[in-house]
Amino acid sequence: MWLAPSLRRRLISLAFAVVVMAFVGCGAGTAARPACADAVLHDWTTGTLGSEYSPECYQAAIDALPEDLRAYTSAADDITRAAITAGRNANATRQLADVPVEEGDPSAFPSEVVALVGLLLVTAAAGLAAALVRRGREE
Amino acid sequence: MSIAFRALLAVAAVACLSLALTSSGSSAPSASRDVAFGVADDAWLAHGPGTLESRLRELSKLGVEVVRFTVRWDQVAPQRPQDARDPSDDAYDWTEIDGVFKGLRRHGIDPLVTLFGTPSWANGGRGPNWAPSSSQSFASFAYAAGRRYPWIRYWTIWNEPNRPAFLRPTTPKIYVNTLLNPAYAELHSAIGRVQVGGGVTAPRAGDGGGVAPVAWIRGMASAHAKLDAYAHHPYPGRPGSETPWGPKCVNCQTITMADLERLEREVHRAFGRKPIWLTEYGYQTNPPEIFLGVTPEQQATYVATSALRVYRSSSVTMLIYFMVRDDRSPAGWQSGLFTADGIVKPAYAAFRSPLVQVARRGGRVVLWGQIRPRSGRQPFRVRIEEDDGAGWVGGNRWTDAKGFFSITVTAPAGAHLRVWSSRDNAYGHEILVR
Repeated sequence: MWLAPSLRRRLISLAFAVVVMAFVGCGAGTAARPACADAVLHDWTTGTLGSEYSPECYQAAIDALPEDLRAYTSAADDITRAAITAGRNANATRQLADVPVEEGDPSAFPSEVVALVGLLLVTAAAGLAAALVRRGREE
Repeated sequence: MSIAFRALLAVAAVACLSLALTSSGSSAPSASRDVAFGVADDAWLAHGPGTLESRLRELSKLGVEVVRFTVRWDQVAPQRPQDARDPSDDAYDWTEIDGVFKGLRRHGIDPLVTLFGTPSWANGGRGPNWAPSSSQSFASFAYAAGRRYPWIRYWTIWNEPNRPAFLRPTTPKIYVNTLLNPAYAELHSAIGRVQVGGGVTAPRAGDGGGVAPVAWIRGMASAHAKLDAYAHHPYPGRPGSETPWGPKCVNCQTITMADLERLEREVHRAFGRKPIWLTEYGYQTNPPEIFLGVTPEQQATYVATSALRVYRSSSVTMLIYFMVRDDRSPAGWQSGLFTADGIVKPAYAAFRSPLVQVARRGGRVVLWGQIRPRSGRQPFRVRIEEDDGAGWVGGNRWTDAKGFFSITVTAPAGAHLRVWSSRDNAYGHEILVR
């Protein structure tokens, strides 16, 4: 079958991409799932699935679901829902962390440092005054 | 004494009399329900350990009334028949099915036939889960099967067609027009008093293009489905935390045993007051099923509780338990009454003689149950075991003609109760009074 050179190049590129994707896909398929995926599945089984896992753990658990769980139970829906809740919680925590604790001039010295320096200055002044008084008495 | 006071006394006397009658051994329920309990396990029945006869005897011992068995169109007719309506056409091979059905008939067990699986010659070389190209081919096969087994009353069309694993394209319209309605008409022309069940739906859509049962039922109604009963598989969605009674899923499209009322509502709205057949149901056990399994004791409890659930429903007339013996493969299904090695699980006794605590007020416990083997009224006793000893609660009692009983006994919380069936020379499963 005759093919135009440009079309041939495209087909070769496409075939290369397919081979690479298949290779990567196989690698991903054969890789062992993280232990936290088993923990997610275990928690679902016992009815205690919460939102404390990372998104990767939920996804790995969904990917690892056996066919009968996928077809006959709510496992996939429940885990997806837990993952969404976990994502929302993570966003909320991040947003909380982004909120400034104090408002004001960020370049100003903290009040604790100012107080400490003040105390040091007062102590030094008192020491100096005491030394001057002692020298005056000796003279 | 005023008239009002006398009337009050009379009402109180009648109430006391009824309470006394209830608690003094009137054991049969007032109106027995006509519900049949059965099993489905094609692989075990056709090829399990022992002989077919020994397996059929086991089913009789369990008190099985109905056995669901799949007739694979693609296996009976791997080649296109010359005359597809003629059951004796050379292309048809009924050998294995003949043996199973004759055996069931000999033991007085009703088969429930499921017709499933398209031969490649009927769908352009595709797999058995692809609909046939022509509705006539399946209709002719249904007619031939009906003529082959005209004494079989219960038939269902296809298995879980709302899942792509069993039917593609997965639409209620294809199901109704290509499979259900043509087979319904032909089975009714082949068999006089046949009942054809449609739907046979899985409890949820799953992923990958499935259709949830609520949408499927509505779609079947829109396609003008013809059926004598609606069949469904109400497997639990969360076996670890879901009992046959709940928790219920509000506004869900799925239908499990906990949501039986939704199934009744949808079926009656779509098809009128047709009976409902629950043609597959079960709880897997852990071990060996670690993710879907419950403990063997929980499985036994749910087997008994689901029987009461169905008994109390006004429209369910059949409950088929899947399966008899666990799959040998860990990846398979593990809801058997026996382990893969043939060891009896507690669910075996719960199937043969289910017992459920319905209510308790102080030391008075209301029990519901059934003795399934044989027909007619059955004698039984209730055994109690407490920390300080064991004994019988009352004397001999009798079930109703279908084997059901509802009794009130005296037993404290924490006691263990079991039913003794003298004709079976066996106990039912044990329940803990709560």
